[in-house]
Amino acid sequence: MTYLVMEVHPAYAVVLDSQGRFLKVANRNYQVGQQVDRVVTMPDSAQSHRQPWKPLVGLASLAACLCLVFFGYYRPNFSPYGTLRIQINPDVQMTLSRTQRVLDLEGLNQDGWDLIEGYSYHNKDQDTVAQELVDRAIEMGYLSDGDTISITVDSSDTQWQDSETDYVMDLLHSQYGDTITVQRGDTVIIPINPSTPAPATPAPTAPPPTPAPPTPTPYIPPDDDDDDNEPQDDDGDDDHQGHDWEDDGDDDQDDDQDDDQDDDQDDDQDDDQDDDQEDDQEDDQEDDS
Amino acid sequence: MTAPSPELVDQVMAAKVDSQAADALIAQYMPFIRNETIKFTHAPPEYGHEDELSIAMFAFYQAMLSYQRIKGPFLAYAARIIRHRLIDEYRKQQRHSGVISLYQPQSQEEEVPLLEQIPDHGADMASHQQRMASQEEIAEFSAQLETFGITFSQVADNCPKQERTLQACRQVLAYARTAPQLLDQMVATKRLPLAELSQGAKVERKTLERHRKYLVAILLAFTNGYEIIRGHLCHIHTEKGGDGQ
Repeated sequence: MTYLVMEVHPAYAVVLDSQGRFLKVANRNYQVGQQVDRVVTMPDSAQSHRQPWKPLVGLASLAACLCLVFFGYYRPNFSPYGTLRIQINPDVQMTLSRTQRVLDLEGLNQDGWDLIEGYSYHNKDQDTVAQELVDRAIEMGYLSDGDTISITVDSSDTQWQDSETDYVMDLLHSQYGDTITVQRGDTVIIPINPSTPAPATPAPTAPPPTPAPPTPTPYIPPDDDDDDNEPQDDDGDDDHQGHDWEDDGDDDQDDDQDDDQDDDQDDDQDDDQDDDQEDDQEDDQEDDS
Repeated sequence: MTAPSPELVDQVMAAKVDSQAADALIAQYMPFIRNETIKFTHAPPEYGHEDELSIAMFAFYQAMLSYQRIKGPFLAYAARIIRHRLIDEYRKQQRHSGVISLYQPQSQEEEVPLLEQIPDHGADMASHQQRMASQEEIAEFSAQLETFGITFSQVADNCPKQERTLQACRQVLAYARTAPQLLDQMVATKRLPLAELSQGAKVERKTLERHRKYLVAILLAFTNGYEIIRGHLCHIHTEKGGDGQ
């Protein structure tokens, strides 16, 4: 690369290199018109010494802090990770964070709402709330010796779900195990339909439930569909009708009929209808057996 | 060197934009620059340290360009820049430490430096004439640039640093050479036909606007005459010849 000296100043010279760049270089007694081979150029940083990313550093660190707070503290503590459902007769469901904080508490039937009325779950963890709710249930007469509590944990993280189920089962078992039966909710399929409207099913009826695997599958979709598409049909017991295998079978039938009527009116929920019919058929089959 | 007079700071700020003010300031602070050089070389620059002195002057100029008030007193800042630059250059020289000096006597007995014994090709009459010719041409080029209100220093400041941008400018040049009427138009109207150039060369108009002064200079070199400059730019010439057609 050769450089043609174009202009000389005391401290620097302007040269034109053979690739068409004009450069400022150290003037080593150059003369205009001279061709030189080696020059001392200006470092890039000298002319534009601003560092445009400098103000962004603060912003980036702030963002990093926020990320840390969000992922390290907020998410595990304040965002819903799963639900824990306790069914005595009052049916309540708590929404849990990953760290077992109770974020929300709702009743799934009227008794459930009664049970939690006036009860504050704020800043309590799942252990406390579960125990206090069971105590309340005993106080309010929903739960007495020989009755059953069933526990359902639901989460997209199956590992967490399993460990949580075991944990809560152990906890309640150690507290009330000698008088009250604690069982997993999702294994409870009650074959007896209208004859036992009593919510707390006696323990002996629990073993017979046979078709455990097929029922959990329809469990979620119909529930979701119904809730999403029929906002007007919010009569309180809407939540039940997804869980046909539960203890209160006569309610279910009523619900199903209601639903069918609704669907006919809507006319765009054919698959719902099909689902319901299928459910009915399953129920019938179970009844037969 | 401790407390800078406010006038000095103002002078530096003025020198950032005005190259004449910069030259004047450097002339004024020549003793300071010399002094800083001697601190590094431990010998007066006249005896074999001219390079260091010119590098120190260049560093002083850089310091002027990059100085900001938050960086403290200007002279302390300049002294730091000069010292660092000299150290940098010294390290670069170390890489060539296997090379002997031209001024070194060839052997112990002979007093004649090596330089005197090498046949001199650069100083003969032809090359002197060549240099005079290019000097004239550059003076004319400079005068014509002056009519655009542009100096070489400004062109150097405006020159694209990034290879990609430089390539874009070359593309413009290649296009302009295929359309000489644009070059004539530019000389006549003293302004760059940006719209036509960006359209013809398929380069963003924004890029051209940003390097307007540089483009004027490089296009002007390809108008008429300026054969020495053009010959010096043979690299773009051939490259463009391939690209353009």
